Amino acid sequence: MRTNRHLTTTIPLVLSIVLVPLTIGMAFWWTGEDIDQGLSQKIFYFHVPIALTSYAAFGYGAFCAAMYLWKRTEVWDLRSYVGIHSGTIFGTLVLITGPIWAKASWGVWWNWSDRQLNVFLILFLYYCAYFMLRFSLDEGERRRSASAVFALLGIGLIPMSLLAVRVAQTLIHPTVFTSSGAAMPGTFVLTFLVGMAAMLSLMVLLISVELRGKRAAARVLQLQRIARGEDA
Amino acid sequence: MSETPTATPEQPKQGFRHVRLVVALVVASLLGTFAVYTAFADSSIPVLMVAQAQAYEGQTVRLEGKVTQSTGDAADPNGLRFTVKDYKGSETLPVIYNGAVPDAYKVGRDIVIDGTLKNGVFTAVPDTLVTKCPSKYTDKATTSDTKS
Repeated sequence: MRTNRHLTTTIPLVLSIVLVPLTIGMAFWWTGEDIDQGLSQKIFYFHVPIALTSYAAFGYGAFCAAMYLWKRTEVWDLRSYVGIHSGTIFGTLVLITGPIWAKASWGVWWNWSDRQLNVFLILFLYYCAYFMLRFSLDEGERRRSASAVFALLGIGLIPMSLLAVRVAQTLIHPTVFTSSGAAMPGTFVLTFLVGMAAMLSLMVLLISVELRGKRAAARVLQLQRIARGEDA
Repeated sequence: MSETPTATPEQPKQGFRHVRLVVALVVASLLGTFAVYTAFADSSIPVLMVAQAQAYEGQTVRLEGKVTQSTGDAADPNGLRFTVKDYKGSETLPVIYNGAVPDAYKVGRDIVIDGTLKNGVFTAVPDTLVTKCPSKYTDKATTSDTKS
């Protein structure tokens, strides 16, 4: 069990150390410049993987919330919380890298008529409200259940955000991945995939480290109670 | 399994926590409603191709098209004057624009702009020019193998 926990931290740690610099190297020195957007297109290798990773983290948080409601064991509640926490970290990065790219290619920092942007912002704010809800309740069954239901309700926003750009008419948000494949050279696709793997490893690492921290804190609290003679 | 922990001094007061809970739930429900609305509701402003614009003369619309000619300066009172062409057809419209010009703006670029068509000239709303980027990336070094 202990070895397992070490592996869930060590493997993503090693992958992150290798893949994050590799993505930067590949993006800036290996792939060519896009004929149209030039250097500013390079942010694609970071922005899109970060955005998809934030969806994955929110998805993981919601999945664990569902597992909590089914199994009623505390560990699923903790996993759900940590997943959503990680999702908001990646979501913040999306909201930093996105406007930079938008300013370079569209000429505006934000476009309120773009549905994908708006739905992502709402998804992000919704999960920020999760923390307000969670910390407004006392620790215990009620808090865990309320948090789980809230986390699970938000999951519907993820497909809405992903599909908004395709289902609804979109004016300026480009869709380079279509049903007929990726509209870009092979080197661009490969760099994107390495970037995707790098961000996912980073997400797993963040979740794993935070879970270990939370477990250690809970153990310390338990030991303190035992020392005070409050709990056996 | 008792779960009423003894209140520690640093914990917020119960009343404050209730307010926070109500605020969180109100925020969440507002966001959820707004999300559904923005994802599926129609845009309040008609979005048109150049070929469709004639039918909306006098109305404020959002126009899409490709820039074919461009002269003047957007900071000048006479404005930036350019022509937008329909993506599919051969219809064109002259546009007069003032305001910020995106770095990516150039002849041949697809754009989106708000404004009103009057007497055959599309007068744009200032600062509404947005450039569109192609949904396709092409390596500058290997442009020979691209399909246009």
